[in-house]
Amino acid sequence: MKRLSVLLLVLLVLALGACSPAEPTQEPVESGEQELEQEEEAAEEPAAEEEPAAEEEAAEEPVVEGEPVSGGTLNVAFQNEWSGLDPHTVSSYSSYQILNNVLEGLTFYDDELNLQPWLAESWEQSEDGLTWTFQLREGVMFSNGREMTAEDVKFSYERLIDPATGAGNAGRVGPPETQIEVIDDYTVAITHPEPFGIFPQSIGFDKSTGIVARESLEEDGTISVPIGTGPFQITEVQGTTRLVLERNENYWQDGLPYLDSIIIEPIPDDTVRETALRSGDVDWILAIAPQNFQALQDDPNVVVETAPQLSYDYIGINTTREPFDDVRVRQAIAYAIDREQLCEFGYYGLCDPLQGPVGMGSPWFFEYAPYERDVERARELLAEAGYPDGFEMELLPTVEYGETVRAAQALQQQLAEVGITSTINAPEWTQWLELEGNFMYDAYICNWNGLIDADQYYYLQHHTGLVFNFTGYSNEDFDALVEEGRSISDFDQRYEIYEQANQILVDEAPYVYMYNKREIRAWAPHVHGFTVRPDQANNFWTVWVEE
Amino acid sequence: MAETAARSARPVQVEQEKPRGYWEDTLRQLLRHRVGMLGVVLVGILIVIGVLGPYLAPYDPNAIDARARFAPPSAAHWLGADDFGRDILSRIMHGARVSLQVGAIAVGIAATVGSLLGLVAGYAGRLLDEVIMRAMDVLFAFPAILLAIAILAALGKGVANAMIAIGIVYIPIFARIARSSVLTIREEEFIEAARSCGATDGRILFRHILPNAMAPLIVETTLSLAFAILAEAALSFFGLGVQPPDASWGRMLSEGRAYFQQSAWMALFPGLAIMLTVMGFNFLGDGLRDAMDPSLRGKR
Amino acid sequence: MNTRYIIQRLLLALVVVLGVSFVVFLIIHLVPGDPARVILGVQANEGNVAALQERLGLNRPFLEQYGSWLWGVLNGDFGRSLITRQEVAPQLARRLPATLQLAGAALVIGMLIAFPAGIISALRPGSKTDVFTSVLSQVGVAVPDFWMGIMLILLFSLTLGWLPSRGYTPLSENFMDWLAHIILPAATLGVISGSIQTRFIRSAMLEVMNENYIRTARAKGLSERLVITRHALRNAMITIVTIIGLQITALLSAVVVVEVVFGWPGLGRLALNSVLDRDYPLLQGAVLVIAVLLTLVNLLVDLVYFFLDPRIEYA
Repeated sequence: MKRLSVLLLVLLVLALGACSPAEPTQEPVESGEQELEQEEEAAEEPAAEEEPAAEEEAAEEPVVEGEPVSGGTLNVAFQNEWSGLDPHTVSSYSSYQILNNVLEGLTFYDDELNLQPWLAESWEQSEDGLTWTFQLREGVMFSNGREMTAEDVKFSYERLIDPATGAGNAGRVGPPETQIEVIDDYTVAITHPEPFGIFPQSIGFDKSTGIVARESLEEDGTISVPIGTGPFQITEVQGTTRLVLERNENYWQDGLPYLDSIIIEPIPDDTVRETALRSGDVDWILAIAPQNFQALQDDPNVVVETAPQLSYDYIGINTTREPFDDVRVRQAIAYAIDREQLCEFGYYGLCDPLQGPVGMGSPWFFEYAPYERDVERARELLAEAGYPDGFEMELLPTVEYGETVRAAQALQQQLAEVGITSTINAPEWTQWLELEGNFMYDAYICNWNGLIDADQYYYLQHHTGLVFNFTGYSNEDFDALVEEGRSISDFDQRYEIYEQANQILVDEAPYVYMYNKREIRAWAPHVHGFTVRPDQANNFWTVWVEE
Repeated sequence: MAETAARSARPVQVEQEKPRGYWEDTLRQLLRHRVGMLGVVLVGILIVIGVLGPYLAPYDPNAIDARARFAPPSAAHWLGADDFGRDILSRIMHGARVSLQVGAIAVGIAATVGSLLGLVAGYAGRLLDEVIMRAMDVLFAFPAILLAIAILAALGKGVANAMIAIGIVYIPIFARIARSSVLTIREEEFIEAARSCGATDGRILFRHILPNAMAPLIVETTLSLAFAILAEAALSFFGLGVQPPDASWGRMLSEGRAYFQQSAWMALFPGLAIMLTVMGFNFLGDGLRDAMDPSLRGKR
Repeated sequence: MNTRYIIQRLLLALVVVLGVSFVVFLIIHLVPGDPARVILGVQANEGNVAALQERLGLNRPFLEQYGSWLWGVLNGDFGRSLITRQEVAPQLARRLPATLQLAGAALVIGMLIAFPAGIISALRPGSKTDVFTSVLSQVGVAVPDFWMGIMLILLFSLTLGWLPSRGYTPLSENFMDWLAHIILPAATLGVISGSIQTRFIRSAMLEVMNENYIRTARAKGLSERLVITRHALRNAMITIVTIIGLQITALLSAVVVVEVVFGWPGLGRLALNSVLDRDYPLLQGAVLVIAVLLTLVNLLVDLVYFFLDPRIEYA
């Protein structure tokens, strides 16, 4: 009996210990208040607060850092699970963020987003503008020890543009009729049916245009583990729970990468992921919840850095449906929204309001901003369009991106002020894609990421009938402009063209732009050499860890 | 909940198989059962708030107020405000209705369909019994939350569909309980008597067997209500269930978890609401079980 | 109990498992959303969706798809994931032990809580200990599992720094690491499961304690300990085994949430993700394994009944 009671006592104490955190302990509440104040300050002037902080750290670090050390393992936590590793069929960022370190393209955008020769040493465009000829770097080895040649470029590009592959990014290389010709082992020529002035840029954007060894192909024609020339190779894949990258001993850049291996695991829950970093279980995390930005920045065991994304969060309006086929209704929505508030509620102020697609950090920024919030103007436009009493509509954010659901709730209230009654449907990703992809919505909320060249902001989303044009928007003048824009190479000339295209697009508002978010990454202080990139790529080959 | 119990109790009073005082006796037993009465009180509070909540709430539960973001509990916001500056007390009051609805409708579906299937299976026996009960086994061999998520995905999101999904998941439990009650009652003398008087199968099933199989089903109903509340919370954890900006306790708790270190009140109060309600239903279930039939103890 | 009964049970179990696989297949095909779109993401459009569907065999008639899946499984081929193109069978083989370990550890923790707590409260119904235990077990039952998990992480990983917040080390690699990783998720499930079991063990014991033979045993002057272990506990065992059986079933369902919270690479998380991705070969495989497990547990419970109480007859 006695022993039993002792045991019981122990168990009860354990049970109490386990249950007590559900009660309000003094500590978290107190610190909560402090952080609240700080958060409010941060909220007022987000940019002013963060940027100096980030620069300070960047300025300090090299002094503390010292010389890079080779070796070691980096434990990395992603947010989402990847959806396959075949560069020609995937499109999820979590997949690309792995492939960044495995595959390389002929060209590459460096951390300052300047285009650099990479697997190609040089390139030139033919007189007629149709053919691009690339001179490949010699002695570049795949991770399996075989040298990369022009044949591999041909294989990779042809698989990408083959309609049977069904690649969403096929357009990066060109239409299916594009000819890829091996001239010799280190020379390859790509001929397009129409001039493609920004081809070198186009193949530097993401890893869909990376060069894959033919040996990656499996019997059934699929690729589950691609073999590339990148600094790391994939050595272990456990479904979508764990993936190991090990250094490519044959890597062509001397001395790189520093790390021996990287272990990548997804942790979907924000709280758990952040706790894993703060308690030292992982060294580096891909995303932190914006609401915890301040708390993590105050933690001495965590380094947080941000960069303005090359992205926009927007409302996509179904122009094939009444009443949204009327441009005045779309403009009314653009006037109805308070972008500052959306940014605040949607992303805790870690963003800048946006009226066109391109953020201020990009060379393609245009100062065209006609839509300051104007409730009266919005009501007038609605009345002109025949809806003086407003109408009912459904907003379609997705739980995949929490900020879209939060923005939708603020949006609902803002739209109500101009008389538009909205409901929210926030499905999971798979269902969202189905609805969005088949015009089964009034207005969806989503974002476009990793956009570098102007072409990426306008062409595929808005040109009549093109693959990513999910709003049904169509305008001949706009089409002509963006077609011309991608056929030539000169920056100034193109800037002028896209300025016009931008104005048409913003005026006609198939997309209503909300804000440009900041990219956030966090890691432990013993991790060095990582740069937060605006295009969201995670490049680990310059990363090293202290003992 | 109370409605379900009341409705299902009615036929019993018409029938005479049990002593006239059985239900009065049960009530008297329950009134004497301390824990059971605590359950009655807690469930009573839930029902009152669920019905009157929208009239009692001090604020519009969905009204966004930028100045009140993350406001801690104060005179203006008794239980604090959330990340949109929405009043947590008002949201909990509105959420009570959702919880009540989820509970009542989900368990209503499960209890009705499940009991019916169980009754028919137990009474008919043989092939029909085998077919129905194996179908129940199929449902039972799924992890409950997965089944609910899959059904919800098929039906589309929304609180109504969440209720149906949760309801379907709990059907087999009721079917099994009803069936086993029927198996024991079927052979009793008064059933034989009714049959020899020429009563139809339907009449025997619904007027004689069902009322006598009622006790365990009522207990299971109260206990399932508790599980339904927790199931709603689990679905909310996966972002399913009630659509924003509407409040449900599960959704509030799930959203609040990300803020626990900064604004604990966001998750704390909805969590307490869930806990007290679940406890209320469990207490009530315990009380009813003890009051109705002591031999039922420990059958779950 | 005879062999015929067992064979009959096994055959029925097979029918149930087949039924499960068919229902999953049906539901997943009724659900809007398409694996091809998941793979292509925002870049999905009519052309490439159709191309991918063709390549993955998703445009074949429903029954044909089910038939070929079933034929494959009967030949030991569980197919490949539609999303990652990895073989399903090795993934199941890797994740099954993780789930079993987690559910097993949770069951042990639950029983370690429930037996002493349930028995002691049943011995002194109405006492302070009893009330205290009852209230605690009620709280344990009423806390949503994901919430309990996050609270444990915040307390033991972040604040105290005693245990890792998430992750998994295989048992074969390093026992201490494995133990450190399994404690929190297993405790999350175990505390909840233990609370439920406590209540049932208490009432089962109470019922038995009121029986005549216990009074007789006490009157004979047997020590309290002997009364409990020899007579009371033994007779309450039937009920308790039923409860444990039900708890295993419940745990195999509850692991889904806990595996997601703790990043535990188990079957539940696999099944959940494959529902969300409409990755039906993977989902089918995972659900099949879980269904087989549950069916085996039920069979086992029946066998234990037989040993505990040979009077039970099987028709």
